[in-house]
Amino acid sequence: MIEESWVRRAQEGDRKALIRLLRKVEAPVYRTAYYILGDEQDAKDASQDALLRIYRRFSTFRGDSKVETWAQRIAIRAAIDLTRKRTRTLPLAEEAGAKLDRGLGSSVERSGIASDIRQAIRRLPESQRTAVILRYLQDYTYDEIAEAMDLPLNTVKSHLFRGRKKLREWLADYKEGGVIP
Amino acid sequence: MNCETVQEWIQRDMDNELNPREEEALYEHLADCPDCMKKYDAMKRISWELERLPRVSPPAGLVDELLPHLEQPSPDREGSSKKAEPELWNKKVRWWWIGAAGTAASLLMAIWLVPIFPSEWETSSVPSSTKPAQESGPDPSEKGTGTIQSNETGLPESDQKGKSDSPSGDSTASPSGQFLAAVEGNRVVVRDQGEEVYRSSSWKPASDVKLEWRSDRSLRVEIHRKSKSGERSGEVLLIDPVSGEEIQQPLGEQTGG
Repeated sequence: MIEESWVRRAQEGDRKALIRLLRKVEAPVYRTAYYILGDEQDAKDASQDALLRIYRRFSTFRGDSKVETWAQRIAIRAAIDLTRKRTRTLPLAEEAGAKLDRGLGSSVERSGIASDIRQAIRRLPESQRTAVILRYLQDYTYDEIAEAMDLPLNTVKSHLFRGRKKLREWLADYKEGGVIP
Repeated sequence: MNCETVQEWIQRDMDNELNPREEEALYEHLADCPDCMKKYDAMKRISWELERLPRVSPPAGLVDELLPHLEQPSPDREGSSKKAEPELWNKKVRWWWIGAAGTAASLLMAIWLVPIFPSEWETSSVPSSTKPAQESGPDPSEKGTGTIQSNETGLPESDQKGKSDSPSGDSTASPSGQFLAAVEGNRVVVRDQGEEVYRSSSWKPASDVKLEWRSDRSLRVEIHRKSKSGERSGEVLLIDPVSGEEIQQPLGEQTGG
């Protein structure tokens, strides 16, 4: 939770408070970018882009939402912008999957199924993927997901439910010896 | 309760969004409906797997690498974003204004004023924090007054990942006692009555870090490194926690303060 006094000082143009705030949001911003993009380098690029946007647009933050969800909204935007750029140059899902695998490297313990789930997340449509990531990697409630995605509550619930249902179906196929499509 | 409604309730149950009565109704239905039960189990499984996904951490120094960009006003900056800088700018303008007032009296007076504001003028020409940190430093294992001994060679990067800076608990007070400086991970943090007032840029893993207050407005941080071959290197940070100025020098230079 980011202290309100910091937010206020940052809104007033206090550069140090703003930088402190960037340090607070960098980890969750990176995590979302990582799961949207599936690659460490891309996640880093998108996070830095997002942090710059947060810095430059902070005076437009009105406090209608929590600063964390506002920052997530910017992170999602930056990651999706980069995904679209990448999709133009990297159309093959296989390659995206391979990038994802490589991205986790040795720093994270991996199991076959977890790795497949990460790939499956990447294959969900953007909105469903984002809703799933915010729910499971940011532990957001429906309201917070709605704030971060800037969508009505019922819409984000529907994205989350559909995404999770698809993952469940893929997992069922996987358990029966198939591969995640 | 029909099976279609149950599907939505199963979903809400995964997010702990059912009230106790709804929960009870759901479980009653599941007990009588093997098909829904199967779907419930499968959903529980995927939800459990999703909850266990690794909470990846960003590489160290993500924000530090951005700092130089944040300080330069860029032409493509959105109009609304200018707010982030006026304070910094105004401060400089204020100093110039004071300087100008002095100049109005006589040129001689202005020359006399120069040594009074050297730090302000120096800062504008000194590039801000530069080196992106590659990894976060290890937690200090030994503590001494103002000196933090840390890992001699630095751990491999893979061992460092996911570690966050943690307070060392080893603080050095400024001469008046107003500020407490402490090495936390690979940076120094200055606090005023517990409230963080300054956080330095991060440095590359060091074998030894010394903190020394020269005055309340000047903290000297000596960062020593020793390579495997025994070669010594390092740098010095001069920090003013009030203005937030941070100057980096190679180790060995004794200028500034």
